Amino acid sequence: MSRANKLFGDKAFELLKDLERSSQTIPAFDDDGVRQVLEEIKAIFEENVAQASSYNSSGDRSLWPLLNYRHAALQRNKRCLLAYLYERSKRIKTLRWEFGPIIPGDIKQALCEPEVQFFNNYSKSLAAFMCNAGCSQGQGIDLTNNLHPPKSLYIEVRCMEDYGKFELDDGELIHLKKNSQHYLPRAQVESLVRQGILQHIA
Amino acid sequence: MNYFPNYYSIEDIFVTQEKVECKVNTKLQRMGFLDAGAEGDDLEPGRTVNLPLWYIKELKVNNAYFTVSVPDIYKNVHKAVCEAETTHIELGRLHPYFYEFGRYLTPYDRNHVIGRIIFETMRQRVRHLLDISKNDGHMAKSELRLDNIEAKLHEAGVRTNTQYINWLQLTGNKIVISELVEEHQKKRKRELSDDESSLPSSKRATL
Repeated sequence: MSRANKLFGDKAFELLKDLERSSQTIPAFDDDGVRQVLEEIKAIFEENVAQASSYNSSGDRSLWPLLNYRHAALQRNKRCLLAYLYERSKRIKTLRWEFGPIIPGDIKQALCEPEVQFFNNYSKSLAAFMCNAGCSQGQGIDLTNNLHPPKSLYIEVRCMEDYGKFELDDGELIHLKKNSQHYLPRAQVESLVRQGILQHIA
Repeated sequence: MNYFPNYYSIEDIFVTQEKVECKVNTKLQRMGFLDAGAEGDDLEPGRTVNLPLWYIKELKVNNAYFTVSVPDIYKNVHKAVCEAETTHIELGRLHPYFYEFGRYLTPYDRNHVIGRIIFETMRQRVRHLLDISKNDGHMAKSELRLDNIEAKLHEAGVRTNTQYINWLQLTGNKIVISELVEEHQKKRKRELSDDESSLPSSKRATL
């Protein structure tokens, strides 16, 4: 009788390994993997329930180590799954701070539906927080701006790609064409520099 | 570097996935699947099995079912510690999670040496770590073969060092493009150029 290797927890650990070693920022959500782990959890749990009920009726303690092992395997699978989801949600949060309120299309394909909703809710919460935090000045503070202490009000920037029209706070329209240089107020163009559309020179 | 092993920490899960060698003490019914070479359904006493750490750490330390044996690498390092030669050992090659694994194994050690070994090794190597992290030239990670915690410390040291030098030279004032965005753009450019060279009809690659 060939015995399959029933050391549980391998598939769940694989999920984490792939996530950790992937070269992309957020690899595609492993739907299949997660489903397999959930099925494994259900199977182990059902075996345990059957055995526990037989123990209740017979009082035979000899199978207790097996019960204990299955319980440890259940906890392990649960921990791996939760850590997988938590790590992905951490990366989604950094996405908001790095890319701004809109996710690029190809990254969005790698996320599953609840994760996209998570991103939107996080964006909303962040916006509400920024609004309330700047209450004393009348409008909210943009926390994603000024990550380093600013040294000057205006900065010299060069445009790296064709962006089109950009409107400043005082209504002035700037036409951003590739390789054009401008002298613009720092607070409003910082987000464009972080996106890679503009480049800060000297 | 804020490493604190918690429920969600991935390094902790990696460490607890490691296998430890144990000797079976009593007959365990229907646990034969743990032992790869056994024939019967039950686990016979006296056999040695490789069990994952996440199972062992749930059991009590002095439990009646298994005796955990400490891996040899700790005995070798013990020798090196006594001769104060630990800076030259390539800890990463011995075991990628040397310190964390040792931390989990400390209660099982009958001679009570592992705790002291880990502490002494770290104490002797930390000075060396400090020196190499101040080194400006990029040493390839694989040459150093550091353990996980040491690699993180080294990375933090290098980062702080570059920030300090930038501050001294007043070069760190530019707003820089965020790292994730930069990687993303490079990846996109690479995919576009791959596409144009392989397919005649230039279709945009989808992830």
